[in-house]
Amino acid sequence: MKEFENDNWELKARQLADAFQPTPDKSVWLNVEDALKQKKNHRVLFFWLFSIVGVAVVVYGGVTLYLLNAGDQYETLNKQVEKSKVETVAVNNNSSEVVKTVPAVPAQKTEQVAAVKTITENFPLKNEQRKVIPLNKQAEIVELKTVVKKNELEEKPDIIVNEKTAVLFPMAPKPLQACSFAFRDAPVISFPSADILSSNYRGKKRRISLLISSSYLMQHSILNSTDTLQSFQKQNANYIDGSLQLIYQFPKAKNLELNFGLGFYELNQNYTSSKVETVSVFDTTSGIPLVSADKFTDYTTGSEFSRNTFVDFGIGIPIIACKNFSWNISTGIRTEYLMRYSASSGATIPNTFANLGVQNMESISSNELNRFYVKGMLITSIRYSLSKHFALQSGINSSYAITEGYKKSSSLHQRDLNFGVNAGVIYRF
Amino acid sequence: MTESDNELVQLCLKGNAAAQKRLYELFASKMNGVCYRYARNGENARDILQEGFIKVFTRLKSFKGDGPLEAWIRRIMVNTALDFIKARSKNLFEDEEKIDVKNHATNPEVMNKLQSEDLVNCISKLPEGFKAVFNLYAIEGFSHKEVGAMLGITESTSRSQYTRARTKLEQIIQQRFKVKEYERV
Repeated sequence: MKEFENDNWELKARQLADAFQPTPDKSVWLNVEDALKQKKNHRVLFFWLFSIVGVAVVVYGGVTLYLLNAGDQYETLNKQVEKSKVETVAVNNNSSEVVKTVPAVPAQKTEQVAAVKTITENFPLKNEQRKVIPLNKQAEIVELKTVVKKNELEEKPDIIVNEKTAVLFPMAPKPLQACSFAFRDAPVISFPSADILSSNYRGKKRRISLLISSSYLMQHSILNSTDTLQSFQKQNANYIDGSLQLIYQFPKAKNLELNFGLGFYELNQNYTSSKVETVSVFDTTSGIPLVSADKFTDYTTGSEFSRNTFVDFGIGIPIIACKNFSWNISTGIRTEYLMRYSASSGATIPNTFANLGVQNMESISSNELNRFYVKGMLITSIRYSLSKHFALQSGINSSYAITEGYKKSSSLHQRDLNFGVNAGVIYRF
Repeated sequence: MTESDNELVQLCLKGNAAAQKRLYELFASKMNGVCYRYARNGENARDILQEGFIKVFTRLKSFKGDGPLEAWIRRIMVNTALDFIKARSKNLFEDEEKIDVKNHATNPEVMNKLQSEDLVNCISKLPEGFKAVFNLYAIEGFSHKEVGAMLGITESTSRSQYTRARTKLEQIIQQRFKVKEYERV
């Protein structure tokens, strides 16, 4: 601070300024008091909010880890394949020559062959890439033998089998829970976007809620294949999911809500698939087919199991609020992560060449494991307020897969449509 | 800090609503005057006062008691007012008119007849930069170095701005006094 100059003008100015002490408006103290209360409430709110979110994250992480390590309902095809391997051998008059190494089904599981791993990167092979048996050796081929060797995969593609295949199976979506609330003492009726909060709780308070909900859904899968020789169908499947959603309501945007949620579900879905393929054995030298036949494969009773976790981001708005009821619509995006997948097939490959050349089929499991995909959702729900803190919710969910069900390299593409009902409990802080 | 101030602060820190109100009532009028000097109008002054008192209560823990409570509160009010002004105008000294500093003469008679309300009204008519420099230097008693640091200007700028602000204020006062005299006649 400077030493105050002995300047009469400044001194006089200072005295006059200090003497000016107008009484402030009463609203100032009321606002200060209100702000101090809100700050106190915010501290409590944030404590509980972070506590609950922390617990939710820990539980979610724990359940995710558990589900990731939990046993599969079905043994995965990859595991089946790893257990044993088959060599198909072509034998001629002079020597026994390994024609192909393909994954095959163990003896006790010959009736559950679902897929056989491909041994070639470039599928289908072009004619010029094929190694063929010379014409003069064709006659030497007298028989085919199948040798089973465990834990050994050999590739001696003197004879390549041409095959068109790819059997793959997709995943399931799920719904979202709606958002806004109609708590007790809400305004009687307002349209189109009501402030459904109680007049006693307007403003910045109590804008965050937690929704625990479960949905019962039906999944309808639409499958398309670029491979005209294959056809796939999936039966509609029902499943139940559970989720925990955090909801924030904007005070100055007509109760527009944002929600963030985490959840899980498991899905069992039966499928049928069939394909027609041409299996040929070529002479290495001449390139002329030694054996050629159409192979018809029919999986009639296959079933797949998937375990999924999802993260929701949604936005919702109340359409009508009347007393304790409100009708809400929300939309959002669900990102799903396929944690576990397994499938079984209930049919054999009804073809005499099965052991010779079913090596190009893609494993179902290899297409399904650890995959992300996104769904768009639309939910409408009705909420009934029980008290200042609790409300019940019930509604209808629908969702449609935005991303394809399989990896791009697959010939099979799947979109899922989900439709169902949800019910849940809302706790408003 | 007096014993009663200390008790009052302790009670406020415990969240005693009555003590908070008492502290507010004790300093509200004085601080309202401070806010008026920096604000453009009554509404702005109210906003600064409100924001200032919220800061006072939320930062009361940081009050060590080594000086008068009033000075601590006043400093918060001044800082709040400066933040308010800075938020409103990015460059405080941008649009200031040219003032002939040589041509100012204070009529002591005018100053003697001037009421406190008149002075504050005249100060409120100053451009934002002048107002801030004048208040900080002449009324609050900060040095030009401190004023420069608070406003983000050099010491010499503060000095020159103060001279110009005072000249301008005296012109406003003279003009107001003439009007008043004329009205009286």
